[in-house]
Amino acid sequence: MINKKQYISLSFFLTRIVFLGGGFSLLIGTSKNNLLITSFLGMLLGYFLLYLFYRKGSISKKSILLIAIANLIMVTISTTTLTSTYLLQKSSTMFIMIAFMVTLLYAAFKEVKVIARVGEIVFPISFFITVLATIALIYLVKLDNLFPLFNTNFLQFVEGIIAFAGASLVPNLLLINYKGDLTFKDIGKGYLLGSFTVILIMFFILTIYGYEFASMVRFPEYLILKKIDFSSFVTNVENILVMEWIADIVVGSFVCIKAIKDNTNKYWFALIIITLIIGIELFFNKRYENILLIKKYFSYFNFTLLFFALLGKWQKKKRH
Amino acid sequence: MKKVFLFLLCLFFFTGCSDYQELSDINIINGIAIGYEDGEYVVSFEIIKNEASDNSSEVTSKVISAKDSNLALAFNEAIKDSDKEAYFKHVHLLIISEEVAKSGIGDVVDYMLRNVKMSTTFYTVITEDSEALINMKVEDDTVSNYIVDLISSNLDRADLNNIDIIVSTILNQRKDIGLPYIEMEEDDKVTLHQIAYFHEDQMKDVIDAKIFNFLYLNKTDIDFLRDETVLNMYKKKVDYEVKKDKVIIKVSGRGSVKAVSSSIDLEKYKSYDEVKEVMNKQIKEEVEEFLEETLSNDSDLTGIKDKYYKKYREEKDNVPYEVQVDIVLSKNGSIYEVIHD
Repeated sequence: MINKKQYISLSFFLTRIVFLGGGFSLLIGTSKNNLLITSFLGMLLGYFLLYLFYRKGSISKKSILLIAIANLIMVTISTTTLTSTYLLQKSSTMFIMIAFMVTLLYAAFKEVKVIARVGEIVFPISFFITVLATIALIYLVKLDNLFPLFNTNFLQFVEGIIAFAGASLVPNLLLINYKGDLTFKDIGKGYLLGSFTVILIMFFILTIYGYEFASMVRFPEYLILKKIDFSSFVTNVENILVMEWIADIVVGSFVCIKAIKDNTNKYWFALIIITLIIGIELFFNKRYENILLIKKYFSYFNFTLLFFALLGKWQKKKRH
Repeated sequence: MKKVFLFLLCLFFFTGCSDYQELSDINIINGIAIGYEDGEYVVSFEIIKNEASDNSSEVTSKVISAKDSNLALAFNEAIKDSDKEAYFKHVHLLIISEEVAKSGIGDVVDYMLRNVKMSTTFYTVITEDSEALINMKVEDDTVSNYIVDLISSNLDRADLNNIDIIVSTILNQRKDIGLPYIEMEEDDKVTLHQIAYFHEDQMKDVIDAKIFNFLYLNKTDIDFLRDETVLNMYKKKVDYEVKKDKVIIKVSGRGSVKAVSSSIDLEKYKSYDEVKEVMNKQIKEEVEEFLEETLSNDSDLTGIKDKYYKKYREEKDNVPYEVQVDIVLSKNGSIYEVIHD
């Protein structure tokens, strides 16, 4: 089992894992200037649902597997797209994906304690980079861009809450089975901290760009880092600061792949990973319209998975 | 053995440089000019020459141009003509001709923002003839660097060197953008005294850069003249109070006397009020004139409509405004009396 500190750090990374590439521009487009309010309410809803899961105990293998596969697909797509769009423009997406998968496979065959230790080491670094980026961006904030509030209809408002809760909470459920004797207070800390930093980043995206611009660009969370300029002395640091997202992706994906490995036999595991690589390359990396589709519905899909996980557990209890 | 295998695997994956490029194999684009000619886009690249020259400290450049009716294809043609791979991450300046600006810069900013190989941090300027400007001869420097230096010394840097600022302002229907307007004079001299102001993505006209600097940028050190008195604003603040019936633009700041009319005696207490009153009136008139001219051309550089909408959620074509100026005279130089008559 993993200790309290390790649980908090892993939970922190898992909360943020699907926001890069998947969450931000979608949420901004849905919630517009209500983004901060809907995200905050989404965080509260997520915290409440996390409590329900904590009270119910463990989650079924099937649910864990579905959540892990779905989130790993999303994260692999985001990583590959970000890398091939901004960083390694000439490298093939297959090559980028295989390099990423090799790292994940190495972690999959380690014990969960090792992954937790990695999370524990990377956590302060990632948190420090987040704080550094925050300080560097303060001077660009224009509070004007947050107004007028409530420029969406009620349905979009609810959609925003559900999307945030789905995106932030569901990956966290992969950890529930490792909670051991930890109290809910300990389990919720990493979730709240992760959600809070995500909301903070949303605040910067919204106040720097305004929702019209932020919802039309890919990776606004990466683009704001490009704007950092300390008196022309510290500039072009986006590729250093983007490490905060890489840390989320890598550590979060370690947990996902470990969950797949622990809940299947080696043949199924091999089949899932190979299918995932080939499937992503054929259906997503080569066809951007499918990425748009998965981005649009992923948070809701995650939220549905969440209810299946909760419902599955209740039915199991009833049968007993 | 397992560790050796992993080490080799890492070498294979993480240190590969199969597509590396030497600096001499790429064309570093320093500036881009976009103009119109016979219904076609003319795209020119100012490329930094990296061949050794007679004087090693001298930065030299060459210009390559291409034409097409489609902007993206005109870029492609210019890239093809430049014989090496074009590197756009070093672009410092985008020059857009007045003709293109008047027909709309939507195409241009769309291309620049969409292209991930392009830098997003560069100045955008408007000029009458973009080709003439980019081909101008500058001693010991490139045209782009020369104009960037000119902008830095004449306007505040922070707000003007990002393409995303231009795009987000164009997207906002209630706020408009102003861009530096470069004028070419004889003997390859250029000046920056005017601002091209836009409505959405179309340039409307040009206006003196002074009040633009004063109202929108952090630039201080701006002089105002009235009745032989010159007041230099070395500190200023512009606030907007949005009321239901109007928007009040409140300008406050501190001024230093650079020259004074012979009728004013700065030894007298009352004279300060007199100068203050005169200069407040002058600044108010200049700001009002500026707003009147730009707003009459549908260009809302101040974003009065946007501020009103954000507070009252009401779209208005014309939002009444009032300018209030309150300048404190806090420096009068080292002499009280006027030496001249």
